[in-house]
Amino acid sequence: MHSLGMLLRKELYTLLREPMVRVMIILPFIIYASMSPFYGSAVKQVEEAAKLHGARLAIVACSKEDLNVAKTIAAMLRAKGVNASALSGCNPLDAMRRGYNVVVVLGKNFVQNLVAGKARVEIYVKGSVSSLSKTLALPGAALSYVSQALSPSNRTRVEAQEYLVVNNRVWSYEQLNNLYGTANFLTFAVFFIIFPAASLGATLIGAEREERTLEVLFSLPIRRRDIAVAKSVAALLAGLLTAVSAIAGIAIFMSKIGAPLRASGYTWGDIGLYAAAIGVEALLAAVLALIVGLFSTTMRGAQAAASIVVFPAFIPAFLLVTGLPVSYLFAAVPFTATLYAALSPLIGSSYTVAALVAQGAETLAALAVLAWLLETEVAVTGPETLKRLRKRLGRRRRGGLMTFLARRA
Amino acid sequence: MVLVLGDEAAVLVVRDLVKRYSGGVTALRGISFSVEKGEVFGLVGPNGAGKSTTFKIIATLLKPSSGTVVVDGVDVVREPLEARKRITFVPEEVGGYRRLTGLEYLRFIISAYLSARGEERGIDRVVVEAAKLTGLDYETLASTKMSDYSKGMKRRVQVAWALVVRPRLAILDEPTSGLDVEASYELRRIIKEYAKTHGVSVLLSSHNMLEVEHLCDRVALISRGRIIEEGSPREIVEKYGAENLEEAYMKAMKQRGGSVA
Repeated sequence: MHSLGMLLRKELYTLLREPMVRVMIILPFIIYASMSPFYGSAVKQVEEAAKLHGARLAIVACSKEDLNVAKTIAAMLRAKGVNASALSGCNPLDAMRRGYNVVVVLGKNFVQNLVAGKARVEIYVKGSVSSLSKTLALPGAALSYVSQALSPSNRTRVEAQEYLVVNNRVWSYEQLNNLYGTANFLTFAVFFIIFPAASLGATLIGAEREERTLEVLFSLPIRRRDIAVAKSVAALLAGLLTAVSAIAGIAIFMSKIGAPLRASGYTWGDIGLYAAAIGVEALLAAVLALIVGLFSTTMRGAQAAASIVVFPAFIPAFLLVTGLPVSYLFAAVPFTATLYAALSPLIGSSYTVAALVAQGAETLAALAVLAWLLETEVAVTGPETLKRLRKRLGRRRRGGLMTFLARRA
Repeated sequence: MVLVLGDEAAVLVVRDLVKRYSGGVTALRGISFSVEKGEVFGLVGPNGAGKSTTFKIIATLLKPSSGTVVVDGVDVVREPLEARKRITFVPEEVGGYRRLTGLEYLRFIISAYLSARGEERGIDRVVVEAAKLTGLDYETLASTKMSDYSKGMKRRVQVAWALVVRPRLAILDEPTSGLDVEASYELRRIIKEYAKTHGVSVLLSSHNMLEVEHLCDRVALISRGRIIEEGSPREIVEKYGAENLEEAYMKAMKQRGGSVA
């Protein structure tokens, strides 16, 4: 029993002192904890949409006979707390121009069809990219309210055609829903590429230290910046191979589930921009990993540090569920290029191009930092430098705590 | 600027070298020495005396806090790339890329030196020369990945490239560490041959005093970041009235306040 305890203690020490194991333990918590505010906000948006909170709803009649029905429906909805009005004119865009964001157009001969049990409506929702979850939830909610107003016992079925107006373009519900699903998939697929690229970058520098080749490499008559570029490009190329394999896999997957990329509104240009965005983000991840890898003693330590450093790459993707800021300023935030590329059928390609330019510049800046670090002693003494820094910080922290306790006493 | 010592141009001149690490540790406290063309110079001292720090500064891996290091007329701090063209450095801990064969590794390193000198045409010839110098079977070098090499095999590969590229200065940190008697003997012979026949100056360290006595033309004893004795092995042995360099080393360390721990 004693020897079992001793062995278990040894195994646990060995495991828990391994940086990669620590990352493995802590990362799921970090991922889910950081996802929660975004998904919580998305759920709230959908809940608000279901109650038509904040919606200005217009019931539009195409004939004078149907206008009375429209007025009745609007009155019933107002009784339920919905901001609803009845309009005539049969033009949903005109209603939107008047400030209504949910427009229900009653079909021709609505009353007659209603009596015959085959009423039809068209629902138009004016939405935005910054609240896609809400935009996609509004047509269903509007239909539910109108159906209940017309037939509280749900005996009469109301058929609806749903349209979404985003960025001054009219989309069918299926089209936008399909695009949103694909964009989500494409955005999250990036992690299969960014993490391998970062891991490869970390491996390239960590292996030099672990295999005891670093000092020989840096003493060769080779420019250090060439070493930085060669390692980054090697990680990028391997990362791109991963990207090609991922995109091919995604394309097959999407076509098998009935949503091929091209059918979701992606042009070859959009797919090209997506590939370029992946390339830039993979290179940035690789360079960042190389920088942190300089401070690690082992390959696995470098990989663990790299996965922590590139973790913020997740954050912009979460914004897709809660509301993506479509602005050129936000396009400068690292790891947003693939996000904009995934949405390019919806928002156009200019934001992706801006993100590519900005993140390309950031990657070059990171590469310059790496090349500069390689010219300094840190290239060789990185782990010791970090150790000394941690010791000094620890001492300061302990010192601060002791002073605090002494003062309290 | 080429510094001259007597009639011979010094290949390496180290002057008042000081190295303080950012944590406050002073590794070198103003050491000076020089190595002449074709000379084998031994830097000998206990662990932590400052040998590896000195080597790394000369190899442009570390920057000195003060003092100068000039290799073949080139200041290693001001022109590190030019200096690296003239230096080869084999650290104490030998390694090698796990996924490369010995031959691929030799080609990579040799290409780096010869390309830097614009001598790409000679790469194949020098790789063959290095392969022979390792004393390893060519088939093993060509087909076995370095992950499968013993420490001794890796050491032989490292020393081979460090000499065949004909540097002005080869820095070998404990070159025979981990080798068996036969391989050590052979390696010492090769180092001597390259120094005398090809004019390669060698700066080495070793804890084996018999080896130092046999191999080195001159020796500097270093302790706590200071050179406490310098001269030919014979001069040092005579100065301390010792029977051999090992005994002289022990006496020098005791008398001059060094540590022999």
